[in-house]
Amino acid sequence: MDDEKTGLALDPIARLIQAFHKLPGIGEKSAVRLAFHILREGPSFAGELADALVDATERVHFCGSCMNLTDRPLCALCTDPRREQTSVCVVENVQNLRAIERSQEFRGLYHVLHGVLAPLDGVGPEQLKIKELLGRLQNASSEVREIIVATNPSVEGEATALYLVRLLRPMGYRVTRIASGMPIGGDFEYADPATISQAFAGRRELV
Amino acid sequence: MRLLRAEFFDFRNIASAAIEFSPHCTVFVGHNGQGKTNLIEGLYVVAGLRPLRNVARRALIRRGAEKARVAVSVRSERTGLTHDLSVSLSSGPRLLMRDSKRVDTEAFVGHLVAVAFTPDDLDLPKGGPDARRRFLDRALFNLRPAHLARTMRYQRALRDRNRLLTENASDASIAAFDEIVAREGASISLDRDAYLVEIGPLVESHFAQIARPAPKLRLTYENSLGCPLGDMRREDLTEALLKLLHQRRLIDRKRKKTSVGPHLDDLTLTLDSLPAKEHASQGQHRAIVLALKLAEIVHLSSQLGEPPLLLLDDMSSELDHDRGRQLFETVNDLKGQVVVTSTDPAVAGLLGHSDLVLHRVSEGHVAASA
Repeated sequence: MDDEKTGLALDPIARLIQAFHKLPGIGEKSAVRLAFHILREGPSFAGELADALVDATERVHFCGSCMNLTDRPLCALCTDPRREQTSVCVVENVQNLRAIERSQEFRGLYHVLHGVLAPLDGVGPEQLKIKELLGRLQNASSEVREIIVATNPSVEGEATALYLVRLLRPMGYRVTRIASGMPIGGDFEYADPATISQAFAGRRELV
Repeated sequence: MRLLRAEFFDFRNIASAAIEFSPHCTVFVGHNGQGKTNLIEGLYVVAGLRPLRNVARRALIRRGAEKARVAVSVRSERTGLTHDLSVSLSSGPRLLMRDSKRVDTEAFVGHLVAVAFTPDDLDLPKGGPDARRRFLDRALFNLRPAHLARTMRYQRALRDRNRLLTENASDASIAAFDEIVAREGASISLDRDAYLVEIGPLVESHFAQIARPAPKLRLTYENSLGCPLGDMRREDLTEALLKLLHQRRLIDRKRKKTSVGPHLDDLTLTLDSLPAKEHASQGQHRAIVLALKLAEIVHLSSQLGEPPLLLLDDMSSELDHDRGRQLFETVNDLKGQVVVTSTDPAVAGLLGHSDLVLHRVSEGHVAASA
C-alpha cells in the first residue's frame, strides 16, 4: 500500500502507466499505449518531453491582468495595442478563451475565472478570479465599459453569470450574456432537444 | 416502434441473457424473486435512463460485478431504421451507445418509448407525493425528452442552493442560484400543469368507465404559489417563484432546505370533491391508477403517432380482476407491443395472442419456451 502511495517502489512501467492514467480523458488502454510509445522512442525523446513539462510548469503563470496563462508578466492579448480596451469577455478557463479567439469574433480583452461557482464542489466566489477582475476594473487606467459573460450554459456557468451580472451592473457597467441555441451550420436533425428548446426560448423578431 | 431483441449483462441478478421479442406480446414466466421484474427494469432503464424503483445505480449492477450493460435493438416503424442502443452502468459516468457510437443523452433518448405498470404503481394515489411527481415527469419525458435535461438541471441547481444554505453562504451566491431554480422550476411546474390539463378529461372518462358507480374524479396540480397556474406565462411564474425564494431565504437558511419549487408540488386527486387519499376505497384507488395509465398511453400514442412499449409487471391469471388486463387490451387494440411478467404460466394462454413468445425465468437465467 505504501509502495503504491510513493510510486517509487513501483515497477517503472506501472508507474509511468499510472501517471498517464491520472490525466483527464486518458483511460487505461490509452495510458498503456502512451507509456509503451515513450519507451519505444527512447531516452532522448523522453528527456525532451520531461524537459518541456518542467519548463512549462515552471515558467507559465497567470497574466497579471486577465489571468490567462503566460510566461511573461502580461499575456500577448493584454499587451496587444490593437485589442479594444473597452470590453472584457469573462470565460471559465483558458480552453474557452482559446476557442473564442479561434473564432476571431471578439476583439476586446478577456478575463479568465479559472472555474465557476460550484457549491457541490466547494467552489465559492473567493476561489475564482473575481477579486482580480474587480481590481482590474477599478484601476484608474481601465477603459472597460462592457463586460460580456461567456461562461458555459451549465447550471453552474449560468449561476456564475448571474452572480457577475448582479455584482457588476450596479457599478455602472453594461453586462451582457452570450446567446445560446442552435449552432450555426447545425442541422435541426442533429441538434439535441435541449438545444432546440433553448433556441426556441431565446427566439427573436426578424428585422 | 418495435423492440426486436435485448441482451443483459450483469444487470441485477442476470449474469447474461439474450432475448428475442414478439412484435406483439412477450411473456416472462417464473417464480417470485427469479429476475422477471429485473428484465422489465432493464428495458425501462434503456427507455428512460431511470431505474423502475427509486434506487441507487449501484443496486442495478449484479453483486460482485464491475459494470452492468443492457443492449436493445429497436426498429422504428416510421423510418424503417433499426437502432442498437445500450446503457452501461459502472461506478463512473454512465455510458450510452447508439449504433456502436458513444452518444450523449439527447441523442440516445426517444428511440425506445416505454410505459411501465408495476404493483408499486398501485400506491400512486395514497403514497407520498414523490411518486406522483415521478409519474408526471416520466410521462412528460416520453412526450418531450428535453424534459429530462430540464429536471436534471433543476435538481442540480436545487442541490447547489441547498448546499449554500447549509454552508451559510452569502446572499449574493444564493441569489445567483435562486434565478436558475426559479427559471427551470417555473418551466417544470407549467409543463406538468399543462400535461394534467391535457390528460385530465381522458383520466376522468376512463375512471368513469372502470369504477361503477363512479364519483366525479378531479386532478389538480398543486404548486408553490397555492393558486391555479392557468395560462400563466413562464416569465411571470419565474418572477413569482423568485420572489418567494427571496422571501423565504431566512427560513430556508434555518432549515437548510429550499421550501419553494416544483420538488414540493403535488398532483392531488379528489372524488366528488373529497381527497381520494383518505376517502377512496381500495377498488377506487385501483381504478384511479388504471385510468391514469390508460390516459397516459392513449395520449402518448396520439401524440407520437404510435403506441409506446407497455411493460406490464406481475400480471395475474385472474384476468377478470386483473388491473393489467385492460392496459394489455388497450395497447393490443392500438397494435402496440407488450412485455408481461407473471408467476402463472396460464397467463400466456389466457392472453391468447397468435404470435406470443414465452420465456421462462429462473435464478437469473432466461430460456425460450415452446
